[in-house]
Amino acid sequence: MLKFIFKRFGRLFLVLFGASVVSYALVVHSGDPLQDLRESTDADAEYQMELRAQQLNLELPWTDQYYLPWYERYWDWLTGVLGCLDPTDRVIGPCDWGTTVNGGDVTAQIANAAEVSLRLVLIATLLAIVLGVLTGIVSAMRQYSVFDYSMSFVMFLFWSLPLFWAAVIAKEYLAIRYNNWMADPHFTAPTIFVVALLLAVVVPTVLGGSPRRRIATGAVMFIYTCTVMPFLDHIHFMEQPRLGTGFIAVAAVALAVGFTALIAGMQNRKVLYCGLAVAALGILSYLLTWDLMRGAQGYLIPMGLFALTIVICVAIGRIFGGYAKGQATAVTLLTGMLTSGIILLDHYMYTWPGLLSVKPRPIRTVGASTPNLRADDFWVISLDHLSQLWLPTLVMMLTSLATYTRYTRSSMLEVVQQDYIRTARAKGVTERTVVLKHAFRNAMIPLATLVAFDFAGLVGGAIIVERVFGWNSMGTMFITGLTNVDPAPVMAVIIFTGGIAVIFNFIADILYAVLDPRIRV
Amino acid sequence: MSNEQTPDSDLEQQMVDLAEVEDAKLTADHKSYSQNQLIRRRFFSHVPAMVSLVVLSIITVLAFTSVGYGIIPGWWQHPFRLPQGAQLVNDGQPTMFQDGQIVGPHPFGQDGLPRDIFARVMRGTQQSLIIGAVVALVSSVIGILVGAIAGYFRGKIESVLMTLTDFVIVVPLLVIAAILGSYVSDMPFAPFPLAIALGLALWTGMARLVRAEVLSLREKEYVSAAIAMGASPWRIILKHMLPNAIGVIIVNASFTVAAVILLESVLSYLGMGIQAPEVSLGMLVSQGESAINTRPHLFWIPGIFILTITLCVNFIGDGLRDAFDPRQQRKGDRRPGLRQILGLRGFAMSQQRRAGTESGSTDKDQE
Repeated sequence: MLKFIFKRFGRLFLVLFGASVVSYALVVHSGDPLQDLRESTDADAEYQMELRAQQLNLELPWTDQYYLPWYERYWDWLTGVLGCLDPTDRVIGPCDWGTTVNGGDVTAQIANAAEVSLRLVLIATLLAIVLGVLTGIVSAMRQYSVFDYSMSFVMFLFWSLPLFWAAVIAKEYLAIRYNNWMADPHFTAPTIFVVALLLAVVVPTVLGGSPRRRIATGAVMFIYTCTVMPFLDHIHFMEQPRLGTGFIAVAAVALAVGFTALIAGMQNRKVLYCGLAVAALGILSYLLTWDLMRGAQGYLIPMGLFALTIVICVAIGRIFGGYAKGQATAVTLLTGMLTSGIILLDHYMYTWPGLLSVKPRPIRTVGASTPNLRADDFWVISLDHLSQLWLPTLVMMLTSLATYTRYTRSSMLEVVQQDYIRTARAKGVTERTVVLKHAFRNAMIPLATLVAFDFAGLVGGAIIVERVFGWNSMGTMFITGLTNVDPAPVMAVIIFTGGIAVIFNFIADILYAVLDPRIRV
Repeated sequence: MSNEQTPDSDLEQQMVDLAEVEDAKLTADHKSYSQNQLIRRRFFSHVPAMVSLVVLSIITVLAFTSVGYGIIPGWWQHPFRLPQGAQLVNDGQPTMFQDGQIVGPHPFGQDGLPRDIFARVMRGTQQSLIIGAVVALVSSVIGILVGAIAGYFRGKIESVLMTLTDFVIVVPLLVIAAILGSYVSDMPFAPFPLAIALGLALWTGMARLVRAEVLSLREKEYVSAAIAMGASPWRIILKHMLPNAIGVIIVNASFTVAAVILLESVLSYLGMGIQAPEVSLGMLVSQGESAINTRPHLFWIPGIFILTITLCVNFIGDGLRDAFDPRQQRKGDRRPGLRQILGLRGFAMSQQRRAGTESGSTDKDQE
């Protein structure tokens, strides 16, 4: 098996190398890099041409009469890039991705752009997988229901959506109009009514049940929204949002109980107590770590606490889980992670007025962060990044959301018809176990491959979205590089995205073999 | 068992009657159909696909007849380029359903120059449709060829060809398309060079699918029989394998059309696809983007056209897949009508039936 994986990995690297040769040749020959200077009437043009030829590594070293053939330029570029694999800088040479037409250092640019793009793509992928798989399961479980039909249509819509168009709409309505509204954030009566009506229709279709139960759910939802929204308006929630200890406590307990019901069943007391213990610890740690978290100067303290949470959760599940160790660990881990998420959300909410005071229009339409933000608080800067990140992530998520939902739905429907599902039902296994253990696990195995493929597509989508939102990252590097006939930045983007795709394929292959023992050849 | 009391002859008579009734029912219900008829019936009963087919036909006919194509003139009076002495009507806002007129002189409004947006959108739609069709054709031909050769001959040829298809995993499609697009941007006969370039980049998906299909068809008895009778490889591929793989090919080609229309609009939006003075829907969106507040129609209308076309093509592809691949249809769990979906009719009955047959969602609902 290991041999197979390494063979495949090696082949993909070979493909990456081949792709780099071909695309270098294509980019170099796609136009004349000195075009604008040749047509220029500037007296200085000749000197500028010389300068640019030097930066593009165009000239032969001993004469300025002839240009360097493309394969020699490729070789120079390749030795520079391969230097990145050489930590000592002696065997191959220093790490060098070349320079742009304007003399910019591509090595620094790609390092910066890669971080920004990777953050965007990773978060979008994760969210799309979680939401898409959940929607897909509910759709499959309620096949041919209103929910199924409307979700199928919505997913078709997302699938057919031109990404740049959606990004411009999001920019206009969710950024500019939202900022206008934030100047004086108040819910009007018609808004409340429309939102309440919408929730009263949507929530019952998701929850399902008999017509009577649906009507009851809808009515409760309507009344709930009609009371909560004016209340939030009254306490100025949009300017000073807080969750508060009470909400966090209720949410943590609800998470523990909910995950127990979902994963192990309420009759399994050991698991339930483990989950509740984690919830209690979560509430306690929320109160205890408040000052520590507020004083954070970087991501080190939040990330460290999160890691500690995971360790504690696993330990509780392992030690007190008894015979249901695995289920208990799953419950404690999920409860702990989501409770941490809620606590983090509360911290960000606490920071929101601080951000508004330095940035009255909270979502800028250009850039990945706000330049000259007059704040030195870590939380404000971090929240500023988040507020810039969330719209591009939302837009990126839409297309892959459609992929995952459609895939999960059809895969679940296929698995549900298998013989072993009928056997499981026949021997009296509860519906929850049938869906989660027998159907879901087997339906999810090929997802690993899908993620690897989807990731390569998403990186392409990132180029568009970053362009629309004016992020100074890979999209800009690629597009300006290609229009300037400038191979270094274009190649940097290609190698970076290709390397990511190769690594993801590698991980997918290994995961696939772990999940499905049949394919171990 | 009440039948035990009845005399034997009566019972026999009853049985015969029953059998006759059953026979009559069978002959009435189950007319026999050929494979192609079955596929056609399944496709024509797929409602979203049918609706999409109608909408797409209307859009196609409208796009090609209104502004005309090539030397053939259309019935729409305004050209898609700026005519001499053009007048700004209604401040460039759409005249559709305004002042009691249904269409008006400029139904989709005008831009700042002022050019007629209806004519421009129709021209852009033409380009999108042409590119979709040409790319699907080119990429399908290359993909079928590569896939069939790789799957049939195996060995070294296969590993070389399949390594080529891995390019698409490693390099994002948009990057390949943009690089190839920059080559053909200055060529004449506007959408065709771009379409062929995109076709050269997009064949890998088809090649993978055809190869997988050919690999499984290789093991069939009729292929062995053909080999035994001395048929040449080409004859086997063309006469025996491709007709049996036609479902996969058609379905994938239809999804390619939608993907390509989106890809072209992205490229044109970024300024790397179709160049002015030609028009494309992506280019129209990028031109209208800055005027989203003053003249929203410049931004919304081309985008809605892109969305409608791709949505229709995707639905048609979905219908074709359902038609060609009956495994996708669930047995015993019939698609309910609209009233059942809305819970207005037979809800309790369907719940009972589902609880009886597969105990699907009802148990979960009761939990």
